[in-house]
Amino acid sequence: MPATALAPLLAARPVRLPTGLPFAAGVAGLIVASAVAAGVAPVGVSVAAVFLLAGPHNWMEARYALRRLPARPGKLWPFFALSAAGVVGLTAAFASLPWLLPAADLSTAYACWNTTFLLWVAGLIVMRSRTNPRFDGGWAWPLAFALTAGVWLVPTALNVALVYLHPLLALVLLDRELTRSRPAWRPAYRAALLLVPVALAALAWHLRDAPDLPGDDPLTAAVAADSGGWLLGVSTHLLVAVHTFLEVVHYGAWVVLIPLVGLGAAPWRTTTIPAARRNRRWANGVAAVLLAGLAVVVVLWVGFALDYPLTRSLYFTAAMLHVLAEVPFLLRMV
Amino acid sequence: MKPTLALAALLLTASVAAADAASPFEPWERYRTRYVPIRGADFDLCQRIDQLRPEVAAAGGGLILAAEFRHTDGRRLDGSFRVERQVIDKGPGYTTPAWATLIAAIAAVVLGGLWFVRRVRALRE
Repeated sequence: MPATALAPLLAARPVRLPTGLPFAAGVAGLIVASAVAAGVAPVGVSVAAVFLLAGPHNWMEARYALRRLPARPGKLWPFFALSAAGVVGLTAAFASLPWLLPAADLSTAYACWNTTFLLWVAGLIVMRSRTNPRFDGGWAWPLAFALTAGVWLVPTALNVALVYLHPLLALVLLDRELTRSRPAWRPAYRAALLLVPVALAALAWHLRDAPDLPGDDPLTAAVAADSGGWLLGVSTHLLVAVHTFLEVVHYGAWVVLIPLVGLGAAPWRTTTIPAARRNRRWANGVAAVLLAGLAVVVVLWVGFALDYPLTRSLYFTAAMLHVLAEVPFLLRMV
Repeated sequence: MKPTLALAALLLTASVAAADAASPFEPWERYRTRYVPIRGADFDLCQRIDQLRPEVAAAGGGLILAAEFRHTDGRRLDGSFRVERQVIDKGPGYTTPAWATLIAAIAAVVLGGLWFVRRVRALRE
């Protein structure tokens, strides 16, 4: 075929951008904007982000979880039972330890808590590996015990690691969600995620010699403490900036990105929630849960407005619930 | 089954030997710590250290250093305070954390070894 004959065909073909590019551009924008804001005003951005988005992002997580929960657990009920027992039990223990025990015993208590947490996760991994799609989960126990040994050497190290790793779980969940619902978007999304380590490196380089955050007010102290500000030899400015950056990305993922691809309908519509489709009673129950969640969001806003440091402290203790709840959900999506 | 048991016994022996040589089994001491203002110091701040970070004040060892030099509100403490430590309890190295570390490390090595052997066998078959 002569080249001149192909010309009309080529001219008629529309120019297509790589699939998922607008979504990936949004992700990149979120990452860059969060890093810049966290680097410039870490305390202010942290305060504003937690005030505005802590409650709504938890509500979105609950909404997403309801969408992903099967209407009936069936053969998976042991997995869901262990998940629920761990989420509730570990959260209750985490919240009550400082009240129940003297300060001198907290180190051992946190080591016990972390050991239970690690064995719980290992148990869930093994249970998950025995359901479809199956995989070899035999590595979970040795790894859990190796980490447990570390936990008893440095009891709070895992808690600090969770503070910094938990925000990234939302990005992993989003990756799994894209694999399910929009696989063509995933390459561009993963490319955009490369900006996360770049942003972390930029923050670390920019603030490596920064002095500690000024001010000894309770608010600054609370924000620094949430970021592990007592770590020896690390600038609280750097720690708070990194934690704030990760938190804002986490909130953005839950409030904007995951709803865009994972809810299947407007958040207030319960028709895509399997449990709500069982019967009228279940539909009313799901609606009641979501409404109660909205009420909690409003209560949090009022609490933040009245006494921000106290509400923030209470929130970050109770927030362990959603940190733990993400583990079984992530495992179900593997 | 015999090779598996032999491997488990070997791993167990090696783990115990390695753990016994490790630091968790050194003798320990527990301190009561006081922060005493020396010069130009804010006495309220001294008290707040214990209020805000009781676990730091009570833990002893490396964490105490963190409280000496850096307060949670960002103010440096060096130069203005003297840290007094009084030994209130001490004992041999075989503490609960040390035993827990030892048992967990042994379990990790043994279970990891058994899993590795099972994996290799499965790949061969």
